[in-house]
Amino acid sequence: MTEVGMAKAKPGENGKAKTPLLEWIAAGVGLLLTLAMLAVIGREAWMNRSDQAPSISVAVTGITPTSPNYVVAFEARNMTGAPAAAV
Amino acid sequence: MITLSSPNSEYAIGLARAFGGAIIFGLPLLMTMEMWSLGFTAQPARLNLFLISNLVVLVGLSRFGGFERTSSFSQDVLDALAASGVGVIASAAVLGLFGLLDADMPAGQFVGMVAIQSVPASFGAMLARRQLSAKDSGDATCEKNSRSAHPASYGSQLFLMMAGALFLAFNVAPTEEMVLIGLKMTPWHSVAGVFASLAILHALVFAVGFAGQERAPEGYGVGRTFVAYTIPGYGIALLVSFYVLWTFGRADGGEISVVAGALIVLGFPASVGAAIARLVI
Repeated sequence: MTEVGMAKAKPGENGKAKTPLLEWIAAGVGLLLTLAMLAVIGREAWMNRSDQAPSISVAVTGITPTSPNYVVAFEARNMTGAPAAAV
Repeated sequence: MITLSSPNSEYAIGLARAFGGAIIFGLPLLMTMEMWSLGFTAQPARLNLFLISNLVVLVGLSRFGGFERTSSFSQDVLDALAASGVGVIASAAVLGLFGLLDADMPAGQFVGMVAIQSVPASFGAMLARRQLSAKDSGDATCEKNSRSAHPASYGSQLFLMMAGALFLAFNVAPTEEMVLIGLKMTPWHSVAGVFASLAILHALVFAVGFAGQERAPEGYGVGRTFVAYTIPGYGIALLVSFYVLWTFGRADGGEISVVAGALIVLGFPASVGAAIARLVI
């Protein structure tokens, strides 16, 4: 009987008798991050963004004259959740 | 000595190793272009299902992977959550380092990008933690004794095969090359692919050994191993491949022959993953 009791208090020779505090913290942070991730992606799923059209705004960030032409740098940004490819 | 062996500092060393494992296993995909957009082009509901499945697999890996044999189920859940958190943080850090994350990205894109990368990273974190959690002195013999005393069950061996297949399939599935190879292969190549996968799976299962065991169980000859491990292993590899393709939307709207071709292509690395699960996991 005592042996069983011992085994319960100390699981295995190399097992931890008590869960270290840091383990709780690490698991808690993991839980928070995982739930936040699921919530954000779940919201996307809920909003059913497939009816949304991608909205792309293009902004010129700089024009540099080169000898025969101009180099126009621009930034295209999709502000919706809907994916846009081959723009 | 006392401070070194305190449970908290031991766990901190474990966490550091988990980050190392997350980066090692995550890097090939962190540096794959297709992965940067998959997180938000994939259907969010499927992505969420995939993330939840990953958590379940992590709990299973903690349980069957030999990591802390004596631990309770709640311990496995804690480890899985910690590995998931490490995967998220490591992925976000590396993506940020590469300049791929932008503060004014829409939240969904930001999260999707990190979320999909966190899957292989959390896998790596869990595998690394398995190594670290074993304490040094005399532990190798201890583990061996425990293994021979409690041989891994058939179900847990199939689970490990599934985890190995998932990992390797996931590592190659996002790339464009997958689709291209599927198109290049003729039906004859595909048939050869099935036999090659089966042959490699069978040979590796024999050469590498069974999950949690040093050699084939007593009375398991070539034929019985083939029926008990190789055939189910290939089935698992194909199912896992289909699940990964479906998650990434690659199985949608395709003709059945095209999907089957893609399954055979992906089934090849998946069966290698299933076979070497014993080595990696």
